[in-house]
Amino acid sequence: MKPIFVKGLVGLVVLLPLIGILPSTFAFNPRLLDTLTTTITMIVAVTLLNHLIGYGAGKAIAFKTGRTTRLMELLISLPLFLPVLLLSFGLYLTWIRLGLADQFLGVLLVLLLPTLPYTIRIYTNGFQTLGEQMMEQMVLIEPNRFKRFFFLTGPMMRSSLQSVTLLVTVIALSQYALVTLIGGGVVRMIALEAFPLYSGNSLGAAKEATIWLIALPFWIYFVQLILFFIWVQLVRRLLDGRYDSARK
Amino acid sequence: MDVTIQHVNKTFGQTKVLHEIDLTIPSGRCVALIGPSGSGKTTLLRLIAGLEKVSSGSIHFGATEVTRVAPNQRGVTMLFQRPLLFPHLTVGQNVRLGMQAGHKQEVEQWLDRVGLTGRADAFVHELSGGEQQRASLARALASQPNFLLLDEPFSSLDLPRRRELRTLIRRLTEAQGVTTLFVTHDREEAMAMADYVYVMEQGHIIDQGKPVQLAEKSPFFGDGVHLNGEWYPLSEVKLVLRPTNDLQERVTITKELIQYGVRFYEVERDTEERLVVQTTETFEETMTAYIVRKEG
Amino acid sequence: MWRGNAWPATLLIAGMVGYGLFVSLSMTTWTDYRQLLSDSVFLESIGLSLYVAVSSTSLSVMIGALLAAFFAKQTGWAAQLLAIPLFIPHLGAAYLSLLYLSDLPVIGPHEGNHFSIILTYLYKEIPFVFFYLLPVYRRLDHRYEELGLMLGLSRLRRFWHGKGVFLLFPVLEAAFIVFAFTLFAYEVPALLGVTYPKMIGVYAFDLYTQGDLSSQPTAFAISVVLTGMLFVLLLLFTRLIRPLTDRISKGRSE
Repeated sequence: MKPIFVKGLVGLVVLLPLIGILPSTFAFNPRLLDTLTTTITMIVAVTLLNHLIGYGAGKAIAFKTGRTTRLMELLISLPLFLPVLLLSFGLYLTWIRLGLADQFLGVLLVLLLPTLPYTIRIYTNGFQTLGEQMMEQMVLIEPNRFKRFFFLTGPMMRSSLQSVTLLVTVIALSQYALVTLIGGGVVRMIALEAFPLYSGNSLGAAKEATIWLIALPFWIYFVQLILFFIWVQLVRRLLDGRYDSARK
Repeated sequence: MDVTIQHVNKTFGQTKVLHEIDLTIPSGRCVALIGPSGSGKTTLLRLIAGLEKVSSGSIHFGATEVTRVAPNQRGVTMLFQRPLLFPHLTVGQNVRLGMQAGHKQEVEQWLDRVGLTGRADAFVHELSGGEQQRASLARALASQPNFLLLDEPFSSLDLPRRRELRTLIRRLTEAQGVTTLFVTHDREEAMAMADYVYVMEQGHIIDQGKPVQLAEKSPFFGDGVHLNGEWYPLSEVKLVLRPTNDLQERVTITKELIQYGVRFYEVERDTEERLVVQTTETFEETMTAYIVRKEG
Repeated sequence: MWRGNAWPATLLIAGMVGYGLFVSLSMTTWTDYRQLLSDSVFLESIGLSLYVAVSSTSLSVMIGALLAAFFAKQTGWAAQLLAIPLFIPHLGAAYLSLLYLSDLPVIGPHEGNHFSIILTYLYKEIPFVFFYLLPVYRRLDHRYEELGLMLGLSRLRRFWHGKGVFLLFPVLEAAFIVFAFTLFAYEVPALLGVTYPKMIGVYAFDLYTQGDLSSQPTAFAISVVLTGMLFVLLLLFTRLIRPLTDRISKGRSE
């Protein structure tokens, strides 16, 4: 088969299904406003927590050796291989006892289960590609860890950071059962709006909800691209300035 | 079985990497191909192995033309820069891989020959870099090749390990009568290993000869100096103290050496390169002198 | 320390997984398990889930691996097209299935053969497998195969020694992840599946949320049994394959 043929086929199969959700009208349903606010707040919170916890864990798994690290790697990847939804049955009872059931925080914590293992895998791969020597080099150049992240590690790990945000967003958005169970229908995310509509008759409303469902990841990814662009520009400008002042 | 390469050209897309290569490797001999990186020597090696297709020209093994013969029909094998032992197999299994009928004893004999006695059951990662390359050599020779190609197999080893492996390869290939072609960018290695040397640059063979001859006469291979655009081997130049107008280069004396009653000086050129020049005159260290041609 | 710290993540995940399992265990008795294992609805549901999960997994791993092998040799942005399905939540993909496949005979949703569920999973999981394996394919060293060629190995053994052993673990791992996900997922089968038999994720979730309190122990028992089975499978998988992967990662010439 010719490469161009394969590429064309892939493009067609991937893109063609998306035609059906091209918005025909731009009507905003004010009823969705609350849900969207909760959804976006939740996604931002889950994503930030993922970055915060996953970054260090991915680094440790990439650069540490020994039995403990291997065991931790296995434990962390458990939710990839086990039924998270079934495990949440038990968690729900515990959350009730802890007062976390039907709460934003409770849902936030549970959403870490299906997302964090992916995050850590992406970070581990990213750090392994970067390599131990490069890390050591960067530690020698900039001993302050916050400055190091801002000037060196962050921009170099850019693609890992972007993939993490994308994956976490998409997985979190898709969780209907988990959010219904733990959030008790009180914590309303967009999946809770969309899901009942699919089995109902109102195709228009279903389409509108789906557009949000699909547009949000693209939109968040795009915002992230802009943030990264600004970040890298800022780093360049600051480093240029430093270089000049050091010379004088 | 002589190996003959005639008028071989190779192009990758738009770039021509080999131009009209003619080369002969006499049966049972070791020939070196020396040149800087990017000169096309590895490509030539891969053409001979059959891993790349020739754009034009022919390759003969003995009287048989092998230009379009598949690699596994050619009876060649290759040692790469890295040992490339199959990591999921033991050392013994690696050696057995290329053998027709791999008896355990035979595998162990091969490991004995390369100094890996009793390591047949070790896994690859349990061997040091030098040991891995020796196991790789055992694997290559155990497949009974007519022709062995070496693609800088020493480049990842330290100096003592290099010398060891060099001697080992020479000894084993001579004992088996294996014809060897050896690619390197290291002059010392070519001198030590090869019976005959081809010098390559930018896809052309620019010089050839026995190592000793080349050291004497080749501007690309031998030790020497360029004086006013001409190249002279060290035996044809001498150091003098007074400036002369005739074909000269200014150098700094860095060290005095006396060997077998003959006086040598180590000098440093403007390019920071150091040479050892024999002379009858006497100098102090750090003096500036001139290299000039010997008269007559 | 610049080498990072995996403790918070480990404690959080292991804590939630372990505690969830512990609560499920404490809510059940032996009789619940005995009843469950003789319950024909449950067994039928497991059979159906296995059918869907095995077909989705094998197809997406095969196609994803072929695409990765193909695109590993290509340059340019075309491979990025496959990233688009990664942007689409499973729920969105299920909607697309409803939209296009509803009226198709044999394939449409609510058909007994569950083709629409499998197709939805393929749309989502092929790209996942693809991006999981692409770096692995790019890292393959073709010189191992060339060496096999010169050593006179057969085509099959050349593939196995030169590529197969390096691909084995990542391919199996990707397959395991896709398998576990498609086996237990709720959203896609709940929308596209038939009313009876339900896939196991749907069956257990409905038991837990919609049934009366007396059916909750059954849901907990399902949780324990299936988690336990997958855990054993995971242990076997890592136990059997770990020595091999260790040898490969330490012994391969870079």
